[in-house]
Amino acid sequence: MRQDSSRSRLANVSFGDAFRYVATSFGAVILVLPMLAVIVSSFGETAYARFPPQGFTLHWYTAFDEVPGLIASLIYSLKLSLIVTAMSVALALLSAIGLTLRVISGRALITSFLMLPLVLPSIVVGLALMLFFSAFWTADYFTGLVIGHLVISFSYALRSILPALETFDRNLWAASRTLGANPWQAFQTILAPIAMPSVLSAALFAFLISFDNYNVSAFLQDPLTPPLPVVLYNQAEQALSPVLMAVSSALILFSVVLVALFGKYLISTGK
Amino acid sequence: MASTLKTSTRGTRSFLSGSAALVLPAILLLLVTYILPLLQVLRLSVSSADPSVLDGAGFTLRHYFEFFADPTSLRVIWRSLWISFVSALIALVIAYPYAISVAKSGPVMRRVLISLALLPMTTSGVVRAYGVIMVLGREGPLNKLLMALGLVSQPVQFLYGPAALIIGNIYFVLPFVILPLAAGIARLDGRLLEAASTLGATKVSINRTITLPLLVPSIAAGTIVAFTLNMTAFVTPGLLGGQGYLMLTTLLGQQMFNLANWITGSVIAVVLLVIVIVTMTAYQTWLDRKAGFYAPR
Repeated sequence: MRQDSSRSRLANVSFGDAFRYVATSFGAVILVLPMLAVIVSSFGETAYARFPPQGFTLHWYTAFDEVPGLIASLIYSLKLSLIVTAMSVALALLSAIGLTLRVISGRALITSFLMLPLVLPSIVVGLALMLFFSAFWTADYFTGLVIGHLVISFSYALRSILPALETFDRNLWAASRTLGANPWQAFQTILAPIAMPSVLSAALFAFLISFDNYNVSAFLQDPLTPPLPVVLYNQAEQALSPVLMAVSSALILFSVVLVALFGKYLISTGK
Repeated sequence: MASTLKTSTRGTRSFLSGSAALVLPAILLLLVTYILPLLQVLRLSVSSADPSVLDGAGFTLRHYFEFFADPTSLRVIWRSLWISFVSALIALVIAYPYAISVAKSGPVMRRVLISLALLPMTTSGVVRAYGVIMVLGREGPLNKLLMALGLVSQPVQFLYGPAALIIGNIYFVLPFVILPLAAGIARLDGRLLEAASTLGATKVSINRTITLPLLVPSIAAGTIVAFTLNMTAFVTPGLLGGQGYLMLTTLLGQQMFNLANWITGSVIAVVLLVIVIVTMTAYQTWLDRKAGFYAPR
């Protein structure tokens, strides 16, 4: 009797688990297949990217200049995103310190306000900023893009840093200050070590969000040197060249390295 | 002695009260370059002046009436809603067993499964769309599979239709559903499951009576995130649906980029904002009402 029930439970377990393995593998295939298709088709010999590809060549990896403006846009985007990352993280760290060092009234409200860009659609922000720059403030393209990316990346950075600082014991700060540390010393010895992992994760998110941004960039771009996602998007409206697959493979490789090195900083606060 | 202690305490306090000022730059930045521009969109959508007056003048609801009177707009709104919702639901069904596997696997397998989810999340949206285009091609694996199964005799043209958009959306949001769900499962109280199992509950009934109900907030959060991501995405519908199968965002893009119609663009932007805000608010209200039942998180 007893044996029976345990056996039936066992049968039940293996059936459920078998189903789960199949379902999980299916999910894994969905996650991997499109990336794989991009990488594999970058080695094809045909003039238009196909999957599965025909033949094998490494030619497209040496032909990035065949797509006009591609290399310039890559450099432009890197520069833009690095500036935006530095500014976002600095601003988010300042704000997080301001929100946690002392109990301030209206804290929840201020936090929700600062997190708004996480919720509201970025395409609306792009449109809004385009109108804003046309009507009120004639900034040059690059400044416009920095601001447009900054408001969004900042919120992602803050969302990474704030929870880490919230666990921080305010008494430690008060104690160090009472013992004669100036604010900078107290920051270096007490706050910085606590904030460090979250600052790294904030920087990663800020960079990725900016580097991948199309919705804001499309509205604020300099038509002569558009950022990389805009160039890639515009190219896709025609037949896809294998050069694009080669560039994309390089970008995927970059993500692989990022996930391998910093994966754990991306999940704790993953959206 | 007492007085030095007092001053030093006061010194600390005064710095601390000053520290709140550190939030000011961010607040100021968002007020000027985020809230103000959004208000300008709102203003422009009810402006009765010539469209070239970018800061708007006068007041009219005419643009809204015109927008909603156009059958195309209504069709696009309805399409955006159902495509976003269906994609979110299917993504949830795929993500659920995957997330359970993440929670149940050993450290190595867990790392692999999480990395597989992180990889598309950290890769450019346009690159992801390229991948979907390749997979959905005439000679692509999906068509091959369908033909091998005898479901179709001719390769199907997926691109620029609902199937491509739904598949692209699912792929796009899957990581954003898997990761919170896996985190929610990891937070489950293992003792409950053990107790149920000791008392003779089968895996299926444990799943139905304990795991699933406790995961309702994570599941709801994942679905809401997926729905809003689909609703507000531009690159996926732009490349997989194109001009022939417009969503609200791509309709907005068409009005702005192709027709330079700022006012209609603003109207669509406001409609999109309202849909997102209503969805989020409804979800938050529901969650707050349930807060007594589920442990505070």
